[in-house]
Amino acid sequence: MSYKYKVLPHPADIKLEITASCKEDIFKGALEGMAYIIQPNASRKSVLKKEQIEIHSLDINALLVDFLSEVLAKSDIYNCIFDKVKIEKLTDNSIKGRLEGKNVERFSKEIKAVTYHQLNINQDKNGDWKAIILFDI
Amino acid sequence: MFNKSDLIKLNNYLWEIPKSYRKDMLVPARIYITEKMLDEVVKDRSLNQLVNLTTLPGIVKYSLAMPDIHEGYGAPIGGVFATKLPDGIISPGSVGYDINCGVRLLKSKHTEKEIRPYLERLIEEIFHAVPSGLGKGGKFKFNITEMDRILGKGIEYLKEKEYATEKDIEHCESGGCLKADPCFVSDLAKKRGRDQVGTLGSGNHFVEVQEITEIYEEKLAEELGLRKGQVVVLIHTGSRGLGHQVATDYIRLFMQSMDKYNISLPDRELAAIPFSTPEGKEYFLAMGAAANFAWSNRQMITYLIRNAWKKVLGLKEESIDLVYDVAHNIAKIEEHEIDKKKIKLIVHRKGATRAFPNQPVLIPGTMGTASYVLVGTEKSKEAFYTVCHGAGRTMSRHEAKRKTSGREVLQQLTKKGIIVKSGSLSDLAEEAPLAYKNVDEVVEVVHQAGLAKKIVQLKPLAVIKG
Repeated sequence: MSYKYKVLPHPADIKLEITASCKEDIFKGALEGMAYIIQPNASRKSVLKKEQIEIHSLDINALLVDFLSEVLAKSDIYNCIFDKVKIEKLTDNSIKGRLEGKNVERFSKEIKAVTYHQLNINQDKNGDWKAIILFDI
Repeated sequence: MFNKSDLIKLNNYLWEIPKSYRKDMLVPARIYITEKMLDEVVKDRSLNQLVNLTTLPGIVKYSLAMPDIHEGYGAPIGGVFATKLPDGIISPGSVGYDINCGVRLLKSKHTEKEIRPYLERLIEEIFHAVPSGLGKGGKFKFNITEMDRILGKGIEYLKEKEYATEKDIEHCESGGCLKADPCFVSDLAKKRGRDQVGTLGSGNHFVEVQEITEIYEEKLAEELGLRKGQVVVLIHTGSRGLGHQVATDYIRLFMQSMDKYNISLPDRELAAIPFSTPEGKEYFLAMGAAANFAWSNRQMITYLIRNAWKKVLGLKEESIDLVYDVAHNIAKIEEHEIDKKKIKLIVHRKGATRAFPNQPVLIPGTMGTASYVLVGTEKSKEAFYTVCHGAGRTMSRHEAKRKTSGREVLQQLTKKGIIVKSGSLSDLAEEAPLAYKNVDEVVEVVHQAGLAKKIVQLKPLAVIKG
């Protein structure tokens, strides 16, 4: 696994910082981080739900937000936590893959939305990719 | 970050950031606040977000902030501005994701002394009747045709189904129905919403049973049917997953369309395009549908509370009347006076409440503190007839949990005699009163600034947290 995520404080909402070795892992880390916010104590003993996902967006920043927004909507409709994605294809404005998750009785926290607020996926001088996403709680 | 010296004090309750502060400002920015409260506000990015609003094409007079202002995303919470019709922008990012999140006040015929023996059972019954928390669908599941009617007609449709009365419609902002077109609401949004009518959600959403503890204006209180010692119920919730999806869909669409209309913004989350464009008009009608959904949600919760009340008190008939229902995340077309002429504007209120003269205004506090009923005044025309929406957060959820625990909050409230029902101790800590500004000070600002008059104060007896 070549990504990590950290929840950062915000006056009203929640920020998630992801550090990864490549763009693909930014998406994987953001997905797992969002699942952690919704359900910090979820166990991954059984994978019950698999869902195809395909998103097209303006640019890589919008793509990450649109990808997470789509996952959030699916979570809400199916009462499911999706925390893994097998990415089949990723470009700067499209992603195709398969989500993996499991049904839950309830979530611990409600994320109303994934925002575009000051999101800028970038690579630092050490070659690490970074992104900070603000979730509306 | 701002320095206090960047602002000009206009009077004890109003400050201005002049247009010269930043090159891209089209108008000044104003904030209703005391100097003491301003010292705290300058510590986060909320004033930068307020200044960003002044760059929106078509904005008139100034962008405004209410005393409960705090940092959000795009527009600050407590932010207000108006743009000229038809070519001024409309901004889903400045309405927010929880479209028509709002507050509703119900009044019972009983005093605190009469209700006290039933209170524990009453709150237990409401807690079980009104689904709160997450991942739990509601008791009502509507098919797509019924959903379209809720989205198109709001409470009017629920009256046809006998879940609402004519009096409920009369006591609701805009009669609980905005002009809307369900065709512009995505299937995904409808799927998210179909079992969420009559559900509370989580976070800062609540149902509180309260007692009227102070009367400030006898005559106006009497006109609203409110008296000292009376038990009332305050409901705070919004448009749930349906509204969140409508906002998500249109913020995405607007971001893709901004280039086409040559709109460039300091924060892309503001996502704004001219109202007169096809996308602008579509969003307005979809937002109206989400607003109708939110009013229907608060109406179905009212229906469930009325049933619980009758059951616990063992009554066949019990009148729990609606005092008023207000939205605090919305964009509306209203007529306002600009340069001595009445013109139509699109007024955006994000965490701010409409306050037309003599209209009831409901300002909830936190779990352990007071809430208020005010009425709007003629003077609030200077603020596009708007006041604050609550206490306003002052610390992050993370910091709140560092400073207190859910168990500690529960103990403190129990000590005050307040009954608490919540599915999550962690949420109780995040929503602890210490995480919010002092609601008494916030309300005093709008009262002293003359934007609204305090009518009654309410104190919690029992709290259901989402």
